[in-house]
Amino acid sequence: MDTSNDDSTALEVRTKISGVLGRLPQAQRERLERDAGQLVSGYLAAAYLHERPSDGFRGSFPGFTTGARELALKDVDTASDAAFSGADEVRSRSAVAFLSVVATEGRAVGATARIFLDLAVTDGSRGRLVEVRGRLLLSPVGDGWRIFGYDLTLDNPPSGKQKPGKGGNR
Amino acid sequence: MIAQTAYRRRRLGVLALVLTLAALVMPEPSIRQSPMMLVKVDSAQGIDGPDDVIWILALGSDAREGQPPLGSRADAIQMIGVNLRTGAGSIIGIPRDSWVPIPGHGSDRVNAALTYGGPQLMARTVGDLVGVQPDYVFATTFIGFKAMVQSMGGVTVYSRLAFTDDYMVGEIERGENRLSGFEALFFGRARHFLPNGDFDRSANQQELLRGIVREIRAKQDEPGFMERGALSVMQHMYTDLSPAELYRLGHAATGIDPSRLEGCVLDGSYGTVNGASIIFPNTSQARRLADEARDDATFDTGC
Repeated sequence: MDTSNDDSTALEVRTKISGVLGRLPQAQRERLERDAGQLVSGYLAAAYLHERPSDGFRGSFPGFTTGARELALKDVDTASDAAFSGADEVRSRSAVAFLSVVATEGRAVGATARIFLDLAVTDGSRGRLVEVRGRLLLSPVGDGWRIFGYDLTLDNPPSGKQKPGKGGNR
Repeated sequence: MIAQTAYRRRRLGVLALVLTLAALVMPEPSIRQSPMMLVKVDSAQGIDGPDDVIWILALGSDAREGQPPLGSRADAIQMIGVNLRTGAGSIIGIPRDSWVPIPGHGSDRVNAALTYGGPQLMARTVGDLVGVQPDYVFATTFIGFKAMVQSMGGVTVYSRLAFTDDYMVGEIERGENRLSGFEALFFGRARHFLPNGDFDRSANQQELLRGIVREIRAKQDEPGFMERGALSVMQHMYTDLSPAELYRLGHAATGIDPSRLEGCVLDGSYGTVNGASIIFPNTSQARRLADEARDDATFDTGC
């Protein structure tokens, strides 16, 4: 299947609030679910499902605070698809996030997104399931939300880093 | 609906050609199995927090129910330096009866600064004593502390001594103790049967802090644990941080390695001023400890 004409980089992470500590009105909950969903989706898509531009991984962490991005750039083997960047195809099989939220005075002031992203990675005739699991730490910054921390595991990444993809896309 | 998203990396057509030729010349296997075993785990953690050593003045006020929490005396006074980059931490315990200059109020017991001028004056007083001004002040009451420990599900401490106290209900065994909020309060307050009284109590408060860090690190992965703890802190602790800042700092604190959280209690000699029993603190030790920990949150030469 040639996906060149598809919006192949969009990823919709199913995001649901699993718990709220403190009081948060329903309208705020719905807004948070939407905003956090977009934030998490944007990162996971950029990190694991995008063609890598020639300038490397700097674009892999949209929505991260500056400090978190600098840290993540040192952890690209786990926080992005660096470990399987030479694969022929990467497809998301499922993408879910559960939010634990803390709120005071009717406003959310922090949240943890527990992520469950399953990737089907195909390289030649070999296929493998790569599971991205862990937490993204979210905080309101200005009018929006940012990812200020991460604690991620990558199950079953290929052993040994693969070389970047050819054709100048990675 | 679960989104299905894919991208395909277009390699040179050579690969496709090779596979096509292979399919023509090789018998097709009846079953094609892909290796889908889960065999390897990579992990990474990073939290955007302060790069430099930060200093936190942690205060436990003896305000009872119905009393203003910040207008009372401070029973627990711990100056904590943490290096979130390395995980190291240093705690300087200040005995509450230490006789020190309080800006604008002459000299008095250090814990009176909270009554005279709230957390700000307390911060300045302790900062002047050790030579490092705290970046943040956290103050809580007996009730608040108990509630916060309860919100964590209790705390484990390692006690150097077995002790009880005739003035309070509680009993601590030597070695490991799993404490409820109420018992943790006892561990941090009891002093009458401790051989070195206020000094041992301050050391116990430092062990409580270690226990709390251990608890947070062990449970940070549990869904809702960090949020429940953050809410409890917001409800029961005075701080000049916004709730969002507090939440971020709480996560950053998980980078502290409790085994590298070294505690020293300020030495001093007992004395009397105007008939009141007080402690004259070892101010040169106070300065040395803070100087050594200023840049990396470690005591280079011990206590």
